[in-house]
Amino acid sequence: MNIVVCMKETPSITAVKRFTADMRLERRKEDAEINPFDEYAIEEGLRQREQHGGEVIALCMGPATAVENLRKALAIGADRGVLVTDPALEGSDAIGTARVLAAALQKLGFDLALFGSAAADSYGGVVPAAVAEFLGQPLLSFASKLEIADGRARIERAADRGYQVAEAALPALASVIQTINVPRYPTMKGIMGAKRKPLDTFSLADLGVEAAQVGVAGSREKATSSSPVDTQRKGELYEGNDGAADRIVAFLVEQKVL
Amino acid sequence: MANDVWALAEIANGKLTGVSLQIASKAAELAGQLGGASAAVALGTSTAAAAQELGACGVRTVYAADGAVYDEYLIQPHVETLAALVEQHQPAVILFAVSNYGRDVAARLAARLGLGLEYNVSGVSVEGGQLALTVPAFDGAQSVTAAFVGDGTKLVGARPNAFPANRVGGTADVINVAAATAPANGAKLSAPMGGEDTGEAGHLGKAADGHDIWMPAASLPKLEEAQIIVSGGRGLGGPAGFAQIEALATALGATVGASRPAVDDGWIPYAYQVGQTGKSVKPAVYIAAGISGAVQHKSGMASSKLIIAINKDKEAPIFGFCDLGVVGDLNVILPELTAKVKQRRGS
Ligand SMILES: Cc1cc2nc3c(=O)[nH]c(=O)nc-3n(C[C@H](O)[C@H](O)[C@H](O)COP(=O)(O)OP(=O)(O)OC[C@H]3O[C@@H](n4cnc5c(N)ncnc54)[C@H](O)[C@@H]3O)c2cc1C
Ligand SMILES: Nc1ncnc2c1ncn2[C@@H]1O[C@H](COP(=O)(O)O)[C@@H](O)[C@H]1O
Repeated sequence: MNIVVCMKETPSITAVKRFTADMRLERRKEDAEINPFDEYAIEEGLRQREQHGGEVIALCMGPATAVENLRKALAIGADRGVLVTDPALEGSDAIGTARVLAAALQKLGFDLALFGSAAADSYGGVVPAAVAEFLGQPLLSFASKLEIADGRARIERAADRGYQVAEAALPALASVIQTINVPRYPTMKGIMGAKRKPLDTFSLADLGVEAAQVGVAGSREKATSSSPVDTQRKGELYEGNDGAADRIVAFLVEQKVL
Repeated sequence: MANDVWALAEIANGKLTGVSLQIASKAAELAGQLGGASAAVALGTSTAAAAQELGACGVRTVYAADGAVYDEYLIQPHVETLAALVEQHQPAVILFAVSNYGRDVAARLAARLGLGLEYNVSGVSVEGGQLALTVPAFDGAQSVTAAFVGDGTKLVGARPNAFPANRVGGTADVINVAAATAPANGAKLSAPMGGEDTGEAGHLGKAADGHDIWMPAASLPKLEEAQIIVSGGRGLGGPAGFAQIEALATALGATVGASRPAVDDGWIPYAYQVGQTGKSVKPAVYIAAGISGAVQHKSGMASSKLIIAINKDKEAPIFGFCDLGVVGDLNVILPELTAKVKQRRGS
């Protein structure tokens, strides 16, 4: 089975976040890590490969320096990496990104394409469905369980209570959520082995995507200004178990909740 | 038409979601400001009942397509119908909820028709005839103002409770639209299972792998719609700790929430997770017990009207953004508090 995992490079959760002069998220190389939500997609790809055989390709659209994080995906266990990078891609919005990923998926060919549920830099969770639309395919979205059998992919997705089951024929696209698995860490052996695994780079021209449809040029939204939000509250602090319940009740009464 | 504002309603299991009423109310308001007409789109089953509720929120027209196909297939039939309506009527703006449903529909629609798409929006205003959107960034530390570029319909994804539902009264004209046909290459969907409302109170159940998991009562309000939420975190010590959380929630007429570690460790289902990767909530009162207040939790609940925290560690970050902080042991305080609330309520 040919499995492609789409992984984004995002600034680490703890990195100090800043805007660039043109109001985009500043992406510093030293802060860049694999989007934490994509670790579940990588893990799921590896587990499916372990069951069904085949190959896992890690696919990333990002700056040239993103090869380092692709290399990390190879260390975790992916078989090869593909980086789509091009100066014209900078500033792409979700739909522009999806257009590029769809073209890359088409070029690579796949039985199963996996995505994270969202990117930790924007919490969009929209790219996978847009990719599926560009490919004219259904998306098995927000999966908490994935099974491949008889040429079909079957997922469970969390409903408000219980779960729904959705299924589609292969080739299939699915996005996965945090409860689907527990991602593994790279081993020493994996890290050494990753250095010899193939890593290819595609440009926009390689994919036949026009520059006007991506990057800042193709983006349909723009941030104009930003201001810090003060979420601190100067709350009252009550110390000790004694009388605490009474204080909370009194507070709820003062606030006319009780 | 050029200045019309629509809301994409969501019907889940034959019921209109609460957020649908919020975005319908906002659509009615925005249409007034832009000098256009308001409408809602309702796709699924029981659209007539949905249309009535949407009309009561002030939208003038409801485009309704009634068909089992919308429950039987994931998203594609919805996009089919919505895309045809958009091409025919070309509204200026469509509001959608940033639920799984709303994100999937809007993303496909934007890809298909080449539309602008902004999500996680917490505010929308009209300035000089143009939309100005407020979007939180950097885990809620910054508030960004964003605008659309170019023409065509704009898709605006609203966070739950970003806008109030205003039941101003009114009746919408219902325009029935033919339901989509089943997609040739689609994702077939089953009805929800394994979460039947057995009328049971919250209890410890068994997860698929055999471990204990707290199953809250099905009768509790939905997280996004609850006025009071009692949330528990790692400080509960295990799934059984949620018994105390739910007892207080029930006494207050509230619902139950959780931090991510409680979900990751399998103490409670994912549907109860509050935060960046769970639900974003905005209740009148949020009570956090045994939750430290990490930014990823905070960004999902910081806009609650009142926040009460119970934590035994005086240095816990949550004490920096609550209205009443209690430094103490939740195992002592929660049962006492529940008893006192019950006493007051005479129940
Ligand atoms: C990409 C990403 C996304 C994330 N998304 C989310 C999300 O959506 N939601 C979320 O919640 N987290 C999320 N997290 C995790 C987040 O960073 C924190 O790890 C998490 O919120 C901590 O949960 P907690 O407060 O329950 O646990 P802890 O941080 O371990 O805090 C437990 C608290 O309980 C207190 N305590 C212990 N015993 C008692 C007692 N007997 N009485 C009173 N207090 C007690 C302790 O003092 C402590 O403060 C995310 C993380 C990442 C990296
Ligand atoms: N630049 C990218 N390169 C590869 N995959 C991406 C990229 N952007 C988004 N994705 C995929 O789409 C998912 C959702 O991203 P988003 O819609 O941006 O929140 C991510 O978890 C990735 O799997």
